[in-house]
Amino acid sequence: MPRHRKVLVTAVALVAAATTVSGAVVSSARSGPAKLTASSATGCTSSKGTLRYGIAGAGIAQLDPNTINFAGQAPLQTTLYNGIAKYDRNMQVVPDLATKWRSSKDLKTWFFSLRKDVKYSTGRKFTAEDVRANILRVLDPKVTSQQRANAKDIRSVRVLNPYLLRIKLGSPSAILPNALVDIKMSDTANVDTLANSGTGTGPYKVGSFVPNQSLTLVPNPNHFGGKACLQRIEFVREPDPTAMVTDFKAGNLDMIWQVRPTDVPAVASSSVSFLRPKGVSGAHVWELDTTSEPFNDIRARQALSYAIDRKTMNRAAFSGLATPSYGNSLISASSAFYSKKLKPYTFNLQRAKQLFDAAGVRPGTTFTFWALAGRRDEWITMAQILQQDLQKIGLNLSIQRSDVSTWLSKFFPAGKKYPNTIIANYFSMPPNPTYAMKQGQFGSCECNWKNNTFEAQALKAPGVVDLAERQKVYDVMQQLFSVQAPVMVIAHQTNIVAHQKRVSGAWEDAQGNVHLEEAKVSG
Amino acid sequence: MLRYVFRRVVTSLALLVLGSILVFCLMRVIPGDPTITKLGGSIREVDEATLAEIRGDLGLDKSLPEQYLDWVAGVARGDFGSSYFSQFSVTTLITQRFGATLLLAIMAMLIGALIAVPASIAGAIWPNRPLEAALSGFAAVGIAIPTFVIGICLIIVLGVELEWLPTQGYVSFQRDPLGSIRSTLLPAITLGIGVAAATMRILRPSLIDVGSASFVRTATGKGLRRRHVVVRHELPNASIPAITAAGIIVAHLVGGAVIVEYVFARPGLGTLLVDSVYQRDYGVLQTLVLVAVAAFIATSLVVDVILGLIDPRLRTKAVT
Repeated sequence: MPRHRKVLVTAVALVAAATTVSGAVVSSARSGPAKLTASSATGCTSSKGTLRYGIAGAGIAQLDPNTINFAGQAPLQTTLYNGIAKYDRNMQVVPDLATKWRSSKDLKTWFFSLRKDVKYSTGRKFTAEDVRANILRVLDPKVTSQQRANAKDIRSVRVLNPYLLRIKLGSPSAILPNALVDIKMSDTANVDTLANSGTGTGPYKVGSFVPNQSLTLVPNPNHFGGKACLQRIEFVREPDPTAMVTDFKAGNLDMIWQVRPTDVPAVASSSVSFLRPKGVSGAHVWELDTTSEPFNDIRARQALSYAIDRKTMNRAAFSGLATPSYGNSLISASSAFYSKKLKPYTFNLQRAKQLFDAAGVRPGTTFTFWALAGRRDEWITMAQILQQDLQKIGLNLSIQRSDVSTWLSKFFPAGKKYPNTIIANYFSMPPNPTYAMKQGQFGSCECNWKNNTFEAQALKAPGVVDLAERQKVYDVMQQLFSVQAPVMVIAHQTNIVAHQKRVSGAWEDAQGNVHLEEAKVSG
Repeated sequence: MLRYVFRRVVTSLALLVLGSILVFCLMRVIPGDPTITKLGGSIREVDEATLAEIRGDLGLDKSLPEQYLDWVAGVARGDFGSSYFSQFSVTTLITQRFGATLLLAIMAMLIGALIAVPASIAGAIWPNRPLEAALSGFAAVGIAIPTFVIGICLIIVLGVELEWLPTQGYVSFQRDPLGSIRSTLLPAITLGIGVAAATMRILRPSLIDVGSASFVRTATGKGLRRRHVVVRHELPNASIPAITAAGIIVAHLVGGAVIVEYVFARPGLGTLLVDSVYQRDYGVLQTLVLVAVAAFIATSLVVDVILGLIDPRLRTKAVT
């Protein structure tokens, strides 16, 4: 290979790597029209076979993609719907219904060009008006959309022509397309029936739907990207994780979501595989009310962090499959963005006792551990380990489980007081660290923590283009979060998804969302 | 007789109203509400003002009596409201699932009757034998063991080990009648065992009581075969207490169906009820409880009327 070509290839590789690591899209988006990748199409010429997908415990209650609140229905986001941008298998943001995008120099104005061959499953044409309507709907405070958190800086959305859109922001952002990945282009012309019609532009459409029970997807004949790979996808609700595993082992299910870590050895066999996401951004956390006793005292929070035996918890609750967060960071220790400067909270009960004493937590004090009933058994395992360890230093832990509504009402929305209580929760965080660390912001975190430096850095992060500079911002935020410990980050882990080896093409993203848009079943 | 029926109908309606008020109030005093469940804890940066606005849209900001009257007015118009979550009308949700529960209830009653009646007859024909002890044991155990334990045992034995019957799911009767019955058999047996045990607990002592009546002695003295005496003379008389208890058995059936449908992942009204409790989906829950209470009251009413027709002393007693 000639030397200049080799240099060029190396340079291109470096740029690509930098883009991947940063999660930013500016460089690729500014480099002219973005090519549609193969993943925009399904890659299938015919629809064959049925995939049965098992979900334990809860069912799919509704199909509106922009008010989704159950991770179990994440596969619908990419089978029924598209966004204008999406993650590819390497967790890079690439165009989906857009063909290209570019931003102004100040990163406050963005232009998105759209595909012209897209139709909804009803046959109606998709245009820039639909993008505008969906974004505005997400921004409406009365719409219960979790997508709003990352898009709330959008000030205006203007349709320049049916296939060109302009978005103006309140402050610079180099990562706007990342924020738009999760805003799906539902059929806003029929918004009243969206929750049960599931009308979108994806490769599949709804065949039948019984809320909380069963859902069948069939190929969408109007899909712009070729034929759906499967003839049917059936979402099956199983009564509990044990029943789900039993049905899977009997061959009645092709894929099961959220396998309990302790069930992994029982599920594993020569005919079974597990989805392996590239990177992990979700975390099991314990939230504390930093405005009520005793956790309004930083020493009590640090004491609790020292009392957490993360290593044992990982072994006992997650079968060693999680990544413990010794540095108490919202970013996984396995991520390139994890700050190397964090001081670990190594399990140390004597240090914990000293700090609890200093914070005025007297021996005999009882904390409440607030968890869900019938789900997330791993939380209880972790709580039992903490219970035993706290007993050694004269403190008690009362473990309480309740149904989801009662559980939520204790601490949600942010601002509620819950003294002496440890809330077990799972943060399903976006892969981009800028958005992941929003979980620590005031008004977002139910921990009620407010730190002005953290808030300022969180505002600054989206507008920093240079990767090294942005890492410095992340370092400051992680350092603050680790020392202040408003939330106990126990371990990072995605949902464990098992599938029969006859299933191919499915994948799981760093957030734990399962992608079935290119899934196939053989035999 | 008409006066008797009228009084029973009025009492039943009053019970229905009381039941609906009770459920309405209970759901609102327990923690959580549909708005919070809908937001799911996954939606950040929601303040109380926004929550209040969303609650206002759902009509949850009104006083409890206002909310109740709104709902009752809707029911009177035949509008039971919609699910806060799926946006399906409650009527659609119930229609989608009614078939699965109805089939389960019919099959469970049939299985219960097929076990209880012949077993009780056998106990009466061959008294004081090991069979008697076995039947008493079955009745006691059938009532004592929780339905979900019976269900799990049957799943393991008949579903997983022997692979005779499907352990989960439901096939619509209209689409595949045989497949539908097959998919309902295991949950129906689970529920039917409880129904059989409850029926036997009433029918067997009743048969023993009737066995000492003079008309039975007469029949026996005429030289009739024991089987004939039991089936033709004892059973019709001994059935009255069992018919009286039909209302209780129906209540048992409704309660059992909730658990059984959940264990067998059946898309019936029981599963819908449990989900609506978890989600605090008030409209769905209130309607379902209303339906259950109405079913119970209607059964009791029918039983009372039948008993009143059979035994004139009962209706005289009730009216005076």
